[in-house]
Amino acid sequence: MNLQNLIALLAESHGMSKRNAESFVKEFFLLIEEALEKDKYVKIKGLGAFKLIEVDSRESVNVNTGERFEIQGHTKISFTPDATLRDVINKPFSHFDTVVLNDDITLENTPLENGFADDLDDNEGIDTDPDSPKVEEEVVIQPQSPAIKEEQVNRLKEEAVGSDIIYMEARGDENKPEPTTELASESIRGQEQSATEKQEASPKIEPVTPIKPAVETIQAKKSQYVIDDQDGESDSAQYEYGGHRDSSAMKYFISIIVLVVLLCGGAIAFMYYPEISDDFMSKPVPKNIAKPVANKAPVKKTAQLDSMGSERGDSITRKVSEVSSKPPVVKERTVVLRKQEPALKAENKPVTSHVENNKVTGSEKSVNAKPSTLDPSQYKIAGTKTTYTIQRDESLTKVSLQFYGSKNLWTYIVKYNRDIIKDPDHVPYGTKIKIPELVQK
Amino acid sequence: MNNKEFTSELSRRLGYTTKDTSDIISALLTEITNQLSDGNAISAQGFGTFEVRKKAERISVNPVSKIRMLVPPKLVLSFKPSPGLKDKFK
Repeated sequence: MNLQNLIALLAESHGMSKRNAESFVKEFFLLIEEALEKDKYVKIKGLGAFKLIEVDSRESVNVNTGERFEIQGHTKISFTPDATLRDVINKPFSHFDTVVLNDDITLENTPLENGFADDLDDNEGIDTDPDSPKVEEEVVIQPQSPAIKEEQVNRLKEEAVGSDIIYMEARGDENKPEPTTELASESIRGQEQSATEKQEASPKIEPVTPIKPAVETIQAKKSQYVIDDQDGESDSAQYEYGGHRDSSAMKYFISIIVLVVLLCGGAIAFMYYPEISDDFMSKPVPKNIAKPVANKAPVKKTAQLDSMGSERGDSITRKVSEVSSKPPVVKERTVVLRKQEPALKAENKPVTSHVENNKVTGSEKSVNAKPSTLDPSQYKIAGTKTTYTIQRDESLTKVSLQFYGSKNLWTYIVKYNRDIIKDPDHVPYGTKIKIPELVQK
Repeated sequence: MNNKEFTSELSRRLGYTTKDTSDIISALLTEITNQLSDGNAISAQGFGTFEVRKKAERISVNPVSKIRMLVPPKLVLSFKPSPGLKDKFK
């Protein structure tokens, strides 16, 4: 809002001509300047007081170079708002009162909203944020040890111009009379303040006193802020729960982290479980062979069936039947395997190696304990056994199984019927084929 | 210079009566107050700016009684002198 707008508003509201209003306003501020120069102090009712404050020179360090340099002694202009004006401006926060904190309540890192909260440690009221010009901290002057005193005074000097508004606080200690606190603060502020400030301070005590009885009552109740939620200030909500929320949030986080760690550990253990189960293989041997093998079986089977060239539909149906019948099959297998254990083991080994050559995996062999797994390379064709007509949804593997008791001898059928069977994958319904007689070598 | 002196001096310079000037002053200040309570800063060219600043809450301790107090957040009026003015008084 510029002065021009202000002038316009003034002219409008007061029925002055714009020129008059302009000259008035300009003269107004000019006079303040001059009076300040002359008297070092100007007080305007309804606005506040302008004061010239002498600042002594002090040593300081250049932040970039680190070299020491001297800040010259100078005069700065201070402004203290009038009581009424201050209250009007603080109206949104007017219902907050300063409250005594009990020991159990710890406010750590109340969230930063609009420069709202800073680190609220027990810092004895010392301004912990001297380097943010925007979020100014009002320094509470308290009678303290000389070291801290000096620090505070220095801070006062270093702060931006507008921020050395020293605000007298209502003390929690009702026993101490007002003059004592005033005197104490006066002694500290001696450098900065002139005698008039004391007088200035005393009228300020009055607005502070009404707060005091409120403080007392609140102290008696041991409650938090009296909050009148105006304009939906989110600050108010934080006051009530600020202290408690943080500690429980921490616990929450810790418990969540612990859970996550446990889950990860469990997952890792799971991954290692098959390996661990391998260790136990020596005892319940066949069971475990069947199990992990069975798990792999359906997957491998489909791949294998495809490679073998059987009809897709058949392989899928087979797989489905496999999966569904897995439990009984597994049982069967384990029973069978147990009985045939030594024999099967022996057979498995040579068979496996051959099987792999023919792109048929050992799992097939071990799985098909019942439909016998015969090695195709061990046979030779010795004439025709019989002729056979392919039926609906029948594949060569089925035929082979039917005649030889093993699926993987279909290759012989193909070989024998090379003229008839063009595509082993698709032997149409009704095709007459010759079933060769297979004799072991 | 207190308020009375200021008003009289201003009226003298402008040629209005004391009463008039005091009325106009109050009108002006009301205007300023309204603007500030809306949150708008007032900048007077060559003089400085008046702005509303928010002060965060904090914990202060009474060193004698060791009682911790929670000071609420507040809005304060701050004045920032313009460079010309600052230099003048340096």
